[in-house]
Amino acid sequence: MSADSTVVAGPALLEPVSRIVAEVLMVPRGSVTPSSALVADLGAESIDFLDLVFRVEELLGRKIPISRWEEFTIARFTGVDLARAITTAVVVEFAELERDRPAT
Amino acid sequence: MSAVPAASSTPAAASATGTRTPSLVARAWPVARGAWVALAQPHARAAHDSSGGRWRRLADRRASRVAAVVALRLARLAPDTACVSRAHSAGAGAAAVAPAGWRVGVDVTPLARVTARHALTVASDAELALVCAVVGATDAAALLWALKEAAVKATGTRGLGAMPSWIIRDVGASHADLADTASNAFVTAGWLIDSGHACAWVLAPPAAA
Repeated sequence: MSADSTVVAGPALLEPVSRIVAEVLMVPRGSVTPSSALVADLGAESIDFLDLVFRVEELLGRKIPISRWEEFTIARFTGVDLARAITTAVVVEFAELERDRPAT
Repeated sequence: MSAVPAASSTPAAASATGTRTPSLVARAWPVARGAWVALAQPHARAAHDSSGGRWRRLADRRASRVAAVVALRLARLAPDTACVSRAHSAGAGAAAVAPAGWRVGVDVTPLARVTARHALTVASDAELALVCAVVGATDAAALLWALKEAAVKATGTRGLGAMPSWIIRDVGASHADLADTASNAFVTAGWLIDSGHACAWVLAPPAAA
């Protein structure tokens, strides 16, 4: 898997992740903001989150077990309405954590 | 909705008695005494969506609400005395209803939406092969996904992380058995492939909980 080196080296993933969110959810790029709730605002379904992780994998050029997305969301949102809590910014944060994770 | 489909003992027969509203086609079938599943599809014009998907998604969500109304009427249940599970996906909405206290979960997934890569993220090769042997390779991934999603919803767990532990043990012509390795729970799911979608439901009475 080859990464986009300019993306991996960049400080923020907001723009590429927002583009991914728009493409996966088939919504206009302009409707995706950091505070957009993926389920409540953009209509994401469970399988869309798999596609988001697949696309973040391609963006970063590294494998990301789906369990890491689960651990990430469970740690932050236990007892919270996920439909409202998971926003574009949350996916950006996840992607940044994965980008900065040391290679094993 | 002024008319609802006639009661039917099988999904296939219920499909033939579906009712057409100005914007939706709904069909429903009984699963057990007082428990019904309904499937509704937005009118074809929803597919020609120029709003970047938003209008279509709203139409899908409305379809799931219509399915719930249809199922509740057929089950003769009021919303506040029923367990209701709803699902919607591109081009369809579904609902399963049962009396209070039941475990209820439903999912509807477009056949073209789920790939083997998706399926194998939440299932083993053996599970996918089991489903494939019954419905064929083209439909297997979507049905596998719908079965696991329905089981997860019925048992109140959430998230993709709960799906891998629900193991598909057996698949029949209209039912499938799933067991949860995390909780030792067991459910029998019903399923149907219709109009390009896989629909699966779990309706378990309190005694089976």
